[in-house]
Amino acid sequence: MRMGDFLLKGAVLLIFAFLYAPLAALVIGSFNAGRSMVEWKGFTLDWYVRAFSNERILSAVYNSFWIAGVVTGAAVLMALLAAVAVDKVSARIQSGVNNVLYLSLIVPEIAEALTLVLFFLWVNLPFGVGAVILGHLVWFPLVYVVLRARMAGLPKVYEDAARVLGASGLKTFLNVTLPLLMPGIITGGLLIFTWSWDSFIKTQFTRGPGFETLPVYIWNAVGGRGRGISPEVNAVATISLIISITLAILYTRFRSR
Amino acid sequence: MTSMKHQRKTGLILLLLLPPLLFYILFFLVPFFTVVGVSVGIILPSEAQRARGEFFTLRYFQDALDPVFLRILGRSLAYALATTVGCILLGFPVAYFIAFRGGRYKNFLILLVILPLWVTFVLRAYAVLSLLGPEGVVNSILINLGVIQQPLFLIYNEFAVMLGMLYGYLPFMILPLYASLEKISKTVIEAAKTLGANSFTAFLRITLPLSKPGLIAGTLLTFIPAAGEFVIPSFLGGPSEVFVGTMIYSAFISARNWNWGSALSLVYIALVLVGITLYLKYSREELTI
Amino acid sequence: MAEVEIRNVKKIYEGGVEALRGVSLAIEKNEFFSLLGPSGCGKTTLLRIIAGLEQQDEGEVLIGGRNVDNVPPHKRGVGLVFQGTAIFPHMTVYDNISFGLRMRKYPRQEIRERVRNVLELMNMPFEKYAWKKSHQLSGGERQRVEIARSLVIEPKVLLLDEPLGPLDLKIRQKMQLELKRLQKKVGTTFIYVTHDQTEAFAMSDRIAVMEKGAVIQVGAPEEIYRRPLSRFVADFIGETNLIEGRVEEQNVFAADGLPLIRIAPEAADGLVGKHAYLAIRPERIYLSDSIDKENRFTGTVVDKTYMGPYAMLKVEIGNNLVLTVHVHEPEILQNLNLGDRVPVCWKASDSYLIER
Repeated sequence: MRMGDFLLKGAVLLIFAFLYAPLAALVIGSFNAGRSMVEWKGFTLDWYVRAFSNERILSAVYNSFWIAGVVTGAAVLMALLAAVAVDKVSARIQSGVNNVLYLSLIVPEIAEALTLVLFFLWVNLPFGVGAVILGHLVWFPLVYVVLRARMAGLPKVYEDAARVLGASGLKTFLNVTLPLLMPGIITGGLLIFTWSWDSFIKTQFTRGPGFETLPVYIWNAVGGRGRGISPEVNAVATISLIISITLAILYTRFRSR
Repeated sequence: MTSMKHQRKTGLILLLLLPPLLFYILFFLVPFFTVVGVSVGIILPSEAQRARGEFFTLRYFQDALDPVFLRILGRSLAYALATTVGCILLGFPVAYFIAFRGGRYKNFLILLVILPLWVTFVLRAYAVLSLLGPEGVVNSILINLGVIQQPLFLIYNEFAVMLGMLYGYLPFMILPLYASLEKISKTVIEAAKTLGANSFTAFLRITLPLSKPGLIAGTLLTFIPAAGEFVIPSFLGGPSEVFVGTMIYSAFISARNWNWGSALSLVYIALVLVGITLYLKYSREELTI
Repeated sequence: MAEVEIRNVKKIYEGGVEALRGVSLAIEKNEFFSLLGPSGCGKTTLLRIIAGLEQQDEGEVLIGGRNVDNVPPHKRGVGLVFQGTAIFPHMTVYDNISFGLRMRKYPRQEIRERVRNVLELMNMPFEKYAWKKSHQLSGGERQRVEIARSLVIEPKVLLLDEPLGPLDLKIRQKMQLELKRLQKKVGTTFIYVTHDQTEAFAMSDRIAVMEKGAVIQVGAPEEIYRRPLSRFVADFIGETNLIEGRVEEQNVFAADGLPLIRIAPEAADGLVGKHAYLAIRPERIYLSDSIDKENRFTGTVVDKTYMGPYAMLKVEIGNNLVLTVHVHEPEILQNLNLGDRVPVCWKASDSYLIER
């Protein structure tokens, strides 16, 4: 029994090490003065300085940010409309809408990406920033799921009370429903921001030539075989990592509200 | 009067629901039908097809189903299966540990499992590369310890792909497993023990069967995307490691052969749809993200 | 003119469940009126229809003599108090109470004045409570804030939906008295929904007893207690002994296996020759054979329970008929054993008849 416990603990420790070793290697590499990882040649911030003076990297980071921002705003709005409307219909229609909307969260990204490419080719829409944003926006059901869950846990009495106290439908929504949904809007927003920030496949398929987001830049810098690793990319990757982890921690904070 | 009120309400609901729903239909559902059209040449026919004057053809499916592709498909599925089994073997102890021994660190440990999922796949594949590459951490440690003189060739082979896949998909297995293990009441297991089961029997007869929903959800969450994975094989695989995902990618991005690519993808999507149907049928688990 | 008038209101839910099957009521100005009934009897549905949160399928609702069927809830001028669970959790007590006033665009100074007054009315010092949030309040305080929030808009009618439900017995009893005092003080018409008869009795001017979507009796508490019109009301309100039998003559009731029972002649009007229940309250049966009680029997004690202020005896008076008797001198209990023979008696005018 005690032996079994010991083995279990050891195994779990090793598996966590496996999950974090590659990320650790990447972070350490970004501070190593040597170009290769074979030797530790001392601590440096050189690669960060280089990364931040690289026009291409800066524009990739910038693109990632503003696209994720736009996508988050629009997706929250669409999810809010759908979630509020669905609240007022019968349970049958509700579950029908849910099932259809959940599809875009289950289907693998590559399948979504290529169908989108063909559709754009077919109706002759241009690839580029617009296509990338439209593609990411299809994930708005992610926010919808969170909002619906929040609404399900929200007693109806608040809205009823506001109505009887003299608030019209719209005022009830603005003064009572919306503030109570806020934690859901924030967690949902963080999720869609991350999905957009992290998206590689969809972005790669729908971006026009010359337009890069951060994951696309990393792919182009490293992707082709034989190009291998570069400390400069390590530096950008570390920053991206820190942003993702910050978002994740914010998310878990708000979810427990 | 009541009906007029009713109509106004229905109108408002439609007004709210239509914009997001139409958007979704236009940019998610319609494109899926486009692929079908392209794969039989109704939409975006190739030059050669147009020259032959064919409106509709199954030629692309014939091309897609040729033995070379089928062998690649089979191999992708085998890799996906191996990934799934590996994830279960590695994921179960972790999920079990967090659910039953996590104590007050439960939430923190789960956060540790979730965190990597928030990092883009490209970056994680790259991270594996910086661990295993010829100039990577593993090699440098081994050389510094004097175990080897020359760097080992740890990447661009099947081993690296397998390791990368395990690394990428492990959290997707741990989370649903944890969710269903967490729901098992400790009293049920204790009851089994008071009834005479030893720890091992209790695990086999109680814990394992009760974790089935999580096992199913985890399997589908890993198997489906792993079968179509292309970031990891392109980063870590050798030139001979062609997968369905890499093949679809090159059909679209490099070869720009839409019809053939569509037919390829449809075969893959068909498999995925079977998977999703199974998923929806066997597990009523809510999506936990 | 009635303050609230409900005319033949029907409500059928999806799936054909009849929540209300033709309810008519007239509630007077300044009245404390209770809707009393078991859960699922339609009392809450009726309240929500009066508030405008639900629409009836048939019939009409008049408030202050005006048909309000097309008036949305926020313009009906009614207040609705829930179970203390509807305090907006994202607002302070002040923001909660001033919500209705803000919606009506009152000037700031007046809002503050009114909130202060209403808190005072609820015995809640403004400085102590105004800036608290709902999670900092106790159950009773939360309930008071909800009532204050509804009263501050000076509604014509205040609707209360089992407002004391989640509270402890002690606080509940205190709040009952407080509510009644409050109602007399502000003079607003109260419509109070409850399933608890003691609560309804303690506060109401009149009570409507509801069952399965219909009102079966309306009247003052004493009236309903003394003369329930149906078996349901008799059972639901307090405890009653029911004896099944036939009204033989204007003053004689016959039950199988028992001697003839005397009844008050006026109780039997229109029932002679019919099957009926004879009803007698446990506290109206005495353990004696005093000559001024018309009905005297001898029975066997089959059970005795000490209830604190009184004792409850079960006495079998033949043919498996067991009567419940409340004895208000519990000392008697000490000299009684199970199986003892005891005399029981009651006055004909204390019993009444219920048609079957």
